[in-house]
Amino acid sequence: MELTVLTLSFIFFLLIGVPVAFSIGLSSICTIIAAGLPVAVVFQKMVGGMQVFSFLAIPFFIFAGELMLYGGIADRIVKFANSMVGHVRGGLGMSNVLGCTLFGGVAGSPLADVSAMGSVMIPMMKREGYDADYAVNVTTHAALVGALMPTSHNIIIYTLATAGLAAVSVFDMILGALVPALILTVANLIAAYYVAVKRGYKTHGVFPGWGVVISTFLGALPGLAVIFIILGGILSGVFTATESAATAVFWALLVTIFVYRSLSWENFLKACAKACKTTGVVLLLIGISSAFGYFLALYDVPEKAGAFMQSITSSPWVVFLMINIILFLLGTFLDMAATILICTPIFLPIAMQYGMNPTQFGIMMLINCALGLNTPPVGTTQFVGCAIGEISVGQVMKSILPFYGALTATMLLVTYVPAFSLWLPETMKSVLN
Amino acid sequence: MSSSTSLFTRICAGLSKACLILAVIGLIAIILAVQSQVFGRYVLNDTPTWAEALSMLLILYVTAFGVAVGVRDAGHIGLESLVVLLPESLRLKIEILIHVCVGVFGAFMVQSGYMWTTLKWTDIKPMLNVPSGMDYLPLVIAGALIVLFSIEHIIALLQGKEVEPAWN
Repeated sequence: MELTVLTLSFIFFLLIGVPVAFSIGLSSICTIIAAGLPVAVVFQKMVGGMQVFSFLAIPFFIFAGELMLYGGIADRIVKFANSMVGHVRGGLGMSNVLGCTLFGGVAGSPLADVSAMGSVMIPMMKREGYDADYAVNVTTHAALVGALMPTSHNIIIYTLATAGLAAVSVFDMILGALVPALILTVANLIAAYYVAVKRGYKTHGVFPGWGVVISTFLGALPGLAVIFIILGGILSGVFTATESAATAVFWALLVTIFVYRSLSWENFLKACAKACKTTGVVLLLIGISSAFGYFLALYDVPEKAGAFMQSITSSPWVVFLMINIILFLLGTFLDMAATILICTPIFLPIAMQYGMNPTQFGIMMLINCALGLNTPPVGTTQFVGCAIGEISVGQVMKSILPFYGALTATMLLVTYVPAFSLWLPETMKSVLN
Repeated sequence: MSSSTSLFTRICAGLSKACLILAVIGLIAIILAVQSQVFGRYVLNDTPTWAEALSMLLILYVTAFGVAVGVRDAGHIGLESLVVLLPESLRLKIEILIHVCVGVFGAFMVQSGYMWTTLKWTDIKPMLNVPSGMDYLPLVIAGALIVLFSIEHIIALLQGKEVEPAWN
């Protein structure tokens, strides 16, 4: 009975368009009233869910990402990427993939990545004669790597969502996501090259020489150093994840104010304000999801979903595929953080029962949700990319297949080959011990 | 435009701006607190015990202000695709219903938050020497602001106007 109330009320609120966090909250309230318990329990769970120290890394990563977005590092990364691969066929497409990956490492968010790199690269590509749909697809897909980078706040959200279900450390997740991020970048490069050859885009210019590559690299280095601060801090044990995220904010301020001198007071305030608004949205979602997760566990939702899947198949391969399909379908409607927070308590126990490592599950989920960011009807990064490229979602869908293919291939590799996500953290652990 | 609504809008805008400024100050304070922990540990050889507790408390306030401003600036993400398919008159009703739902949640936040705040006000948080009830006070603040901003949205919808973000 209570489970029916929870499910139906959640779907109802979501469908009429109540924001996700409030839909979760209201359906939790409906459920607790149906169960005859005091409503205050929902809010106790909510505040309790926000009292975790690693939780603080999320606003820090969001803040650092906003500072980097307004701070002029995108231009320098574009110059560096152009000097490296700008001369090959579909050169700007390749530079775009490389640039988005690097900026994704700095900002840790696909959305910030599309906004920053897209506003530089998409108009540039259109001027050089590339089709707008190609420019947008390259950018929006390459930007998804941001969700897997060490600065990704979605990684922290996943580790919070696993609380009480499995022991997943931020260390494992950050290192585990690196190899898949690399594979995704290579897959994107291949897709960008393939489309460039198929459409007969010409090559532009010649290789500018290693001198230019090195000087543009040095120009971008202060910004890129954020990645090393976080990796170095966590690997050496000097900082906790939360402390290294706070250091990343400091570094972002130093670089944008003193090194690049590109952050105006207005933009600083804009970045602060944006960071606080996003923080409110994301942290409310996390807090209220812990109340929701409590109900899911209370009413045995993972067990019931698991039993249902078992009635269809006993093959782990098929179960993982089904989980991926469900995640993908939800991800097309819901925001990344919401999908992670709602689905982890349901599907992680099932995946673990079928032998999947929780770190591997998390990375698979991040890639899957990233795919949803580029899929209508609610594709957040796709919207932004289309707005910058001044084309419709329909036009973009025409050439999306090679890029979808690249992303899906990476996701399946991570789903079915544990080594891609587990080898690096395990190796580093044995090296460090 | 009647002068009473415009005053109401101005009050809401002022509150929203104040919330966002307080949230920014809070976020910067949290960053400084976490950094002071690193500084204390490696430079002073004395890790401040208050830093972690203070940042965990402050983040609740930053979130509360951020959530409230998010409600006013329509920053919270929901599904819009189905509502836009509806005919104009029905869409307005649904949009009002959405704000009513959000406002109702805000009211529950105030009620439960007030209960917990008063209940826990006599407990003292060990590291900070402040009442444990302060953890729940943000629920009251955020809830009240959510109710207020939802009402503002409903009035704006009925008058065919839009609520403009107050600051950045």
